[in-house]
Amino acid sequence: MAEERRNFRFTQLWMEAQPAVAAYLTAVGGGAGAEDLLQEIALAIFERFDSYDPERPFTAWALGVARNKLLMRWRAEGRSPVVARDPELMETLAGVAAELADPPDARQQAMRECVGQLEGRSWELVRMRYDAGLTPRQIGEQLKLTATHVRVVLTRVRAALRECIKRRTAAAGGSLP
Amino acid sequence: MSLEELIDLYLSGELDEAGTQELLRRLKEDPALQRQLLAAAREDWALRSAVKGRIALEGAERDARADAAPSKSGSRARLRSLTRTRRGGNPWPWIAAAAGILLVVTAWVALGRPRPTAPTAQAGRTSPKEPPALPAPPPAVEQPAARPPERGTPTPPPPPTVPELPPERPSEPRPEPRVPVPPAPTPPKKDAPPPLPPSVAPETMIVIGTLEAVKGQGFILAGGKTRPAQAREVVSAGQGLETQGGGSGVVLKLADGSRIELGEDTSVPALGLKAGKRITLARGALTAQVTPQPRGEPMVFETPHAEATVLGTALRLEVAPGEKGSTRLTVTEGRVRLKNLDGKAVDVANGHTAVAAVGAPLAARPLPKTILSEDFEKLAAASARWETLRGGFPATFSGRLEVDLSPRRPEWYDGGWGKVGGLRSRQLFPLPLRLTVDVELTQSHEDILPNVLFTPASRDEKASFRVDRRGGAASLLDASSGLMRSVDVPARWPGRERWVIEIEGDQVGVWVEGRQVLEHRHGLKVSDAYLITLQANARSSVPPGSAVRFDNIRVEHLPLK
Repeated sequence: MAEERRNFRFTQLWMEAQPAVAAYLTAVGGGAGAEDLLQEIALAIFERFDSYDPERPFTAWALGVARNKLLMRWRAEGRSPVVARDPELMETLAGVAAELADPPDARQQAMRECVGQLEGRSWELVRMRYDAGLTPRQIGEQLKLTATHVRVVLTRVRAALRECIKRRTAAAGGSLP
Repeated sequence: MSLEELIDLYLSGELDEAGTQELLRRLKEDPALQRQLLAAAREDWALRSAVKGRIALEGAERDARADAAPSKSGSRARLRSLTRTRRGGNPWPWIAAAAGILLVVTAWVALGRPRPTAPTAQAGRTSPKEPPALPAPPPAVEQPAARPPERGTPTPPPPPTVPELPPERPSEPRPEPRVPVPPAPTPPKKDAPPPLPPSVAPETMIVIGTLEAVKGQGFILAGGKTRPAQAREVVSAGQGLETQGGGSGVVLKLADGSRIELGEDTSVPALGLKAGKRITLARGALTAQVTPQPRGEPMVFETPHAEATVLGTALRLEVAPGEKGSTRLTVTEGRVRLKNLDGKAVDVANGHTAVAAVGAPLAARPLPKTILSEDFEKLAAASARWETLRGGFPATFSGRLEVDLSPRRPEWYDGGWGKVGGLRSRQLFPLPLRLTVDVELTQSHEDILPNVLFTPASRDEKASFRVDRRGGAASLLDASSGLMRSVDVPARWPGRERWVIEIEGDQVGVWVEGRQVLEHRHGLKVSDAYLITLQANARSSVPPGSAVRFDNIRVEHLPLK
């Protein structure tokens, strides 16, 4: 029963913290492999969950674990990204990520619905960028477009999605943060 | 270069080292820029999740279309297994952590299992991997059919409008067209997650979701025992849920955001494990809002009569138990595949319904159109819709219609029975129609007679007929009380039960508490439309305070078969 309660508590807290951790990893660790990394971090956080002090904010604690895990991983791989050379900035960004954490349900649902409406070239570019993980330059090479051209279109698609999400969350009675 | 462009380049891994250093320098000095970067990263992540979710959904839809109809025996065997406890099998991939040794609910898992990616892949900023071959474009996603918005339903916002590609500027050198490069072979994962501590592994449970709300009597079934459920309680695989009593219900929220609401007197004996999510509905009703499911891992609802495969949709399932029972599926968003015991399947689209029952043809039909929904809350509006029967037992309505059947002076009764009291609709309802009404008796007594009278547009009494309940029987009669058909149906008096009466031509079907109890052709002259009268009568032998109440009345115009 105690185990059940522990797992339940972890599940609740992690679901709230996960968007902030994911955003942090994307910001400092890179987008393309962030999913795998996020899973590893979830596991690491679960394993350390017994050492979590319930008096502290869970998201901030999880972001701390994520930062350490990321640094350890870079070290193990012999890599030294520019951001890794500034631990203070990494910590600062973790703090900002914690501040930006918010319940994402309505926005995520709206995002799914709006992405579901994309079609044609817009959808093709979005899929190549966000599913295949290609950079705008790589997409341009595949489609015989300039990288600038691809970036412009992706920027416009994102702007249209933001508008769509805004309308949908407003229609659903929600509010944007 | 604008800050937005700088951040965009950084997040897409295209900012060179000098540019990255410049960005980081500015980040250290500018808290607003820090927030802007994190907000952009959050959007990047959410967009990535949504795109992968859509691709998974499209893949699942393709799989479903390509799925050949299974053998009869296979289907039956699968459905027969509903009552057995599920053991083993693959745990839900969506809640499996990396190595499958620890199963924890996490939100990102809605994306499905991660692709086997080399750990260095995330370092794409400094050493971008070779691009994979461009995937074939997916088939167009079918959009839900447009439906007229119901009253009070906000009009959904329009889809996002994305401008067309701007004319290309030949400002950058264009490389030679290249042959698509196959993805690099996946190296073995270097840093597989560490093994789970021994103290945790054997008892690890698979968390399915949490109870968002519990109304009335809700229970968790675990290990052959039943215990009261509480809101925010975790529900794990192998456990079941049950509700008992009028007004009871529970809401289960899954980690991927799907919501499943169990109605009253509903039993979900097992939340099972297989590829995908399997939820067994043994009796009662559930309503589900299912988020798009990972490719090849649809959510499956199993009932004693059918199996509904869900790819991401909103639906309602109602099970009437027993040999003559049935499963009704109603889809209000998306598309669901319903398969019956014979292995026949039908795709039920948005705004359609289908019923699976032994020996019944399986077909999807458009949802009925509600003509009247009456709860007697607004007296003025109700008065405009109904007229009181004069000279009979007094009928009052406020929140519900109540016919007071308390005994009166002996001379008031004629032939032992009083004068019927109730309300008659002012409007005519066209056929085919379905009437749903909750009927409540305050006493259990043989001489209390709640009934519904259908009068043709011509007001010709000889063409009128009624459905009534008396004691433990349900009957169909003509206006002169000529009995046409009567069947034994156990009564729940004193108490409330739901009646559903369907009329198509001269065929009348009656359901009590979700179970069809009567089907008969009345053989009278058929009218295009009928008045509906909710009424009750009684003998003088009933105790004081006896009453019949009608509530939650809905009249729907059914689509033609």
